[in-house]
Amino acid sequence: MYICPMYSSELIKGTLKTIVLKLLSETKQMYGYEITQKVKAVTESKIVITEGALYPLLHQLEAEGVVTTETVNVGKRIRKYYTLTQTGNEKAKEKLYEFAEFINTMNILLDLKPNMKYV
Amino acid sequence: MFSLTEDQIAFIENDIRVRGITSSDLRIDLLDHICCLVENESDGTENFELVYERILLLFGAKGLREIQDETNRLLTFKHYYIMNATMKISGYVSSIMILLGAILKINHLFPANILIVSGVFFFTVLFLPLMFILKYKSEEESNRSILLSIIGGIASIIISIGVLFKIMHWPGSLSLTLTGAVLLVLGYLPVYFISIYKKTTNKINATSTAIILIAFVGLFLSANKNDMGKNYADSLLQMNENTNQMLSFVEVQNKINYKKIDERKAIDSMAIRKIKLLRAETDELDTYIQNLKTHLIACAENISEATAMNVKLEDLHDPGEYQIPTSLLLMPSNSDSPYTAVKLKNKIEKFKQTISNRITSDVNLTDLNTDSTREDESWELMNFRNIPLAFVIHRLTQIELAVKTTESILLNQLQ
Repeated sequence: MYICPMYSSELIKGTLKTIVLKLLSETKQMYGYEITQKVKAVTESKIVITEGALYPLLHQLEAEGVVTTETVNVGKRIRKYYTLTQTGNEKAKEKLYEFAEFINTMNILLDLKPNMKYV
Repeated sequence: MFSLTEDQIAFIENDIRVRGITSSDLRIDLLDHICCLVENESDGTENFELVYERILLLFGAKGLREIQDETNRLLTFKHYYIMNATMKISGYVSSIMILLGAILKINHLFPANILIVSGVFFFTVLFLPLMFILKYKSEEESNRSILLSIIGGIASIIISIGVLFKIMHWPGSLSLTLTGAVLLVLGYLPVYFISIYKKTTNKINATSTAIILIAFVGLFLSANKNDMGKNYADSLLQMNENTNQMLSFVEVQNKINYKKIDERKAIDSMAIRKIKLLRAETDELDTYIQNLKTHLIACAENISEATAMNVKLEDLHDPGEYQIPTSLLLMPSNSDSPYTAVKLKNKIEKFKQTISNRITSDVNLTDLNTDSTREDESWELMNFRNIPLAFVIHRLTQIELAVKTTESILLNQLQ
């Protein structure tokens, strides 16, 4: 689902939802292309989200009531902005907390040190 | 950064639609996304169509369509993985249960039927519906595939219930399996064949699948036609036919003998008395047995005794019916009726006694033996308990033949 030059897909499978929820909780409202570009920029192209993964997820989140959409005319086309709902905000916190816990556990388990060269 | 013209946007929107994005909601997302990509990838001097083609390559081999499929899967199919897992588990469990049940059944071991019934139950109630729902969801949502899934699902559920009925010898299996098979052959197969055949790469696959399916249905139907029950019935009819032929042969011989005796004057009066007694006794027992047969057929087939008199074994509607003959012949509550197994036994005994006491003791009556050959069961139970009507009638005809043969032997002795 991801095109990721650096990480194997098994490694980051399941993190997409967390990434999207976190970005939306930071930036009130975003459109699809903006999300992909933001991830690309922040991770210095180490993680690139594909459309094939992003849009199905966004539509699922909308159906679950985690996000709402708002359409805006941009020039000659329509742009759809995604915003977190109240539930969405809680869900974002929940997901982040869960992921942080996971990273902590992995730190202990694998004895990782920040910025260490592992080759 | 340059901006796309109205025509170019319209071109992209149309192209997305042609590539199979039917959901307008998703189309809005993808149109904006692709437009952003084109605008950022190009400075406006390049040929628009070339840039667009290059952008489309980013969407991978399966293209835009996969995004919609994945969206649909996530939206309408939240429980996809649970359903998939349930389908697989129920498939494995039910097929193992059926297989084990079949092995036990062949060896006549106890839990065979429980295993088979629950195996087919899981197969029919869980596996088949889930399989067809998942199959339908994974295919393109055309009217044809919906129809195909519904017909296929119903047909296979009917067939699998029919096979269960067949294995358990419950009534109605033939009509169930036939309905299912007809639905499969006339409904499912043509639609399936056409839809697969249109995808040219699958031609060999489609042809072989269709052939396998048709062959299985054919084998199944032929197996149904030549089942064991029919073979049994055929051989019983044949045996009964033979017995009837021998019976009429002996009857004709006896008539000739009686006629000869009537014509001959030089016979002593003692012999004449014995012959008359023999004839009377034989006729009495034979008439009783014939009436007994008529009575059984009339009750079991629910027809009048006058009609029942002319019903032959092959004309019986339900030759396998055993509850009515058993209750008529053996139930204590029926003991007032003139036609019971005990009364038949008594009549045979009386016939034998009359012969050995008053005609001759020098005759072999083993064919009319009414002693039980088993310790735990009387002659009546052994011969008539839970025995299908056709076999009961045949057994009674055999007794008739034994009576008439005894008559014939004695006639020859007395002449």
